[in-house]
Amino acid sequence: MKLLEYKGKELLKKSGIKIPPSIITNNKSYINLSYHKEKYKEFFFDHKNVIIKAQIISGSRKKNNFIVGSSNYKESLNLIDKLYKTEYNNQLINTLLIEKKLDMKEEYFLSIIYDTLSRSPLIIFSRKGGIDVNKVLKKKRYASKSIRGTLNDYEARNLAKAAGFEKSEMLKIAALIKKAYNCFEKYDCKSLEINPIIKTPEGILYAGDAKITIDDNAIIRQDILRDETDIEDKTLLNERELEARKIDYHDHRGVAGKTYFDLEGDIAILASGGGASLTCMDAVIEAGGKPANYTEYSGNPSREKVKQLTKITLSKPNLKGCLVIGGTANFTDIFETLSGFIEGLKSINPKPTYPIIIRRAGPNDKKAFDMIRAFAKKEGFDITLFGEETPMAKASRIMVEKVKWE
Amino acid sequence: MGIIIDKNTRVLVQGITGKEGNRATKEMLDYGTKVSCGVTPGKGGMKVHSLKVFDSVKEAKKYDSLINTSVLYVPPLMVYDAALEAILNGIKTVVIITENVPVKDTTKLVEYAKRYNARIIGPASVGVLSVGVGKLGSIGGAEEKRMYSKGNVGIISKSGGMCAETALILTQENLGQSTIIGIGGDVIIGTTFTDILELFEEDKETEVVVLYGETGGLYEEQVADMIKKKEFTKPVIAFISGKFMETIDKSLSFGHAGAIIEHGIGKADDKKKILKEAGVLVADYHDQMPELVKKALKWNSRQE
Repeated sequence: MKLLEYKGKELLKKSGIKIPPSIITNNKSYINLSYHKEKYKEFFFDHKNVIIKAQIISGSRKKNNFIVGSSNYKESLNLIDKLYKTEYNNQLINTLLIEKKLDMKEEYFLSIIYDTLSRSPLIIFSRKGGIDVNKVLKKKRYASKSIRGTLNDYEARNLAKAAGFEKSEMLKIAALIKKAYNCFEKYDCKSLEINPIIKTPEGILYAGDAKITIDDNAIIRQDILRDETDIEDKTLLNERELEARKIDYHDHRGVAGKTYFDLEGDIAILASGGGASLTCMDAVIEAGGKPANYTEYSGNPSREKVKQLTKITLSKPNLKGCLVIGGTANFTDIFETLSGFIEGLKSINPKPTYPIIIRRAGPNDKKAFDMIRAFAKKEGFDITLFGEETPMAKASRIMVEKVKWE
Repeated sequence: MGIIIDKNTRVLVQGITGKEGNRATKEMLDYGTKVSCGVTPGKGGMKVHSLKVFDSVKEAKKYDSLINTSVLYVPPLMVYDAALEAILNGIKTVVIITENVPVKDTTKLVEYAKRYNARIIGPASVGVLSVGVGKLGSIGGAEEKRMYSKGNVGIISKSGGMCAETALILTQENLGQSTIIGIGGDVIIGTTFTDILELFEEDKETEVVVLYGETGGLYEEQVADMIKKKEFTKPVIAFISGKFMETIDKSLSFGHAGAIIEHGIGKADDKKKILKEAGVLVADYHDQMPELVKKALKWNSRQE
């Protein structure tokens, strides 16, 4: 789960890292309650120069005017109103983080990620933070350190020194690195990035931004994060994608819908299994086809869940084909899941006339295929059935060919 | 005789009383694997498929000191503790079937395994199967023979489901397999492609190895390095999936370092290129693999 900046900064603050003085406003409360306007007014005249930051998950907020600044009260009010009327990903901006604009003497960069080569956390620190950090990283102008077990103080100092800091500055940077690593470890981060770390003329270090991703598998043991899932969903997902996620919220047997997202193409895909779904998506694209979505269901989901997922997947307009695909299941009941597919298919209006290909094998597959053959004949659907004699990649290519000839 | 699992393998199932652990235990026994007993804390004294259940690994080892392998079917947040318990009680092969294990926990376990000279496979491994010898985990379900057949092809796969599909298309072309290993697709895994290749290099039954890789990480790149250094000398066939993941931009705003260090490298196309340069036969479609295996085997016999 990717945290919005203000949520990430909360974690940094709890870990002892300074963040700029700030207030957080929420769209509705800002508009409806004069109290919030009063609070902002007070904040503005305390600091006289502010940065207003839209709280969205996006890589280039500054470039796209989601981060604006002002030292004029009236102008800042207009900027706030304008941001609250701006849409991102088809949704109005919901939250603004308003911070004091700090005097900046230098900007640094810090990142902690999991490195697959050393199979351990890796800390990267550079003296040259800010907007052009991409170049800094590509040219490897940074110091880095793999962490085995824990980060000892002397290792943090060595890293600060390797990044070009000396004397008391080295100690300050080392302390910051240690705090950031503690935050990474304590809150089960998958990645943590602070860019820039702002050094003021007084020599104080602040986190200017926070990009933190929490390990989804660990959220359940992170009390302070458990209620945050909503925030990510709202800023990243469209309506269909949100609907699909609800399938799993309400029924925990197997997985269906958690991974659904829309793509630009016209071939609807219902795949089973992580590796199988990737293999088939690649095969469709390699053969010149365009998937309309990505989704994957597995772990023997109930008939109802597959039905819901089918309804959502086939609700996309202008589809030209549908591929239901998976390997030889170990224990997923093929009759149950394909019955769910057929029930979902029945509910689609207008009735799909495009070709449907099903490639599936496993428990109860014969019973499932007999049922579908009878259904297709009776209701007049164009359904082709393949079992394990036809490789998945081949079934994917046949789908693309069929769509091309439509 | 198979790698990871052989005639001396004696298995402990941690989480044996759960639904998955129970089913897998039966399937392992049916396939001829020597499963000795199980552990579920709080359920000591029970029996599962006539096997004794203990509260701790220590008790299990006391009951059967020959146990050398543990297969884990415990909930994700309990994996760390269970695997650690196995390692510290002297078990040298720990297969983690559980999915969704926090990466922090896996990373710590990898460190412990190094220190205690143990091997962790997974997490999110579907298991290990040596055709005709035995299996660890859920691999193949109750119908292994539907896809797995005896032969000389080793399979290493990040995806569990694709172990079966890969073996199936090979079996359909009369290309049997020696040992099949699901290493799991997590960011941090206990045993990588190259760790397994070291074992296949020494394994007389394996003549050629098929890899199923995925975008992300650098485990496939390590394979290319290993081959270039001639530390692995048998032919390798590879398929890398996940290219489409790179073509979509859901503006997920990877952090910069993550984007460059993790996603900038480790792309499917880069992996393919690097592997090809090292002499690996790379399939564009998954179902081209049998053809490439045949090519590699012929090439092999010409060399002899």
